[in-house]
Amino acid sequence: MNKKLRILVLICYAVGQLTLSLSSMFRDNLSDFAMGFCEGVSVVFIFIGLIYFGWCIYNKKNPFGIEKGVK
Amino acid sequence: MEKYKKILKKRIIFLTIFVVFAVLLQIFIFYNGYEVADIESFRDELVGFQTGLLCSMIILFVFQIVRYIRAMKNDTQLKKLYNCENDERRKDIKQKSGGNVLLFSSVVIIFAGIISGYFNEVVSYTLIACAFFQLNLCALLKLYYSKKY
Repeated sequence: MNKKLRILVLICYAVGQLTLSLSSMFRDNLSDFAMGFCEGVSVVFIFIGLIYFGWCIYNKKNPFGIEKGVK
Repeated sequence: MEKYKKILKKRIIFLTIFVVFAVLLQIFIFYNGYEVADIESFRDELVGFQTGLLCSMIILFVFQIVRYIRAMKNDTQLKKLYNCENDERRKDIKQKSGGNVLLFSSVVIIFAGIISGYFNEVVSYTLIACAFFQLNLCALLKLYYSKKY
């Protein structure tokens, strides 16, 4: 997996987690629709991140470490 | 390479059809969703969930379309993509792990889950969970076979 893609997947995962946690924090202030929307988006993004983490565990690589020299 | 370009064009058309279908479904949700639904089982949160799922899928499809278009314009990128896809080992792994069929069926199941949300909430969540399970299985099989070969 190249460096660009790894960064992109990590950003995806971070956005998913952030959306889920923020929507849970502000559950009372959000409408039902907004709450569901945040959950829907975060489910997909977190899923992408989880597949990447699985790949990293299997290949014994640090998911947050971007190697030098790999484009 | 011209042959491969044609394959990429086909893929772009295929993905565009999915995007158009998703956008149409989205428009349908906003304008007619409540009329179709059994009102008691139709919650705002489910509509939001469907919209979020659709939006993120549209983003992923558009990202893939842009990737293919950029590769078609740049010869080095096109060669890289071609070499990557035509690697025998990768081809074997893809074939063994279900390949495009599993991916395609998962996308179809997700769409089915979104549509069925208008009629029954449980069915909708079950179908979506089923699609995610399939995708997980595909990823696990890929990992397994990449270690085996």
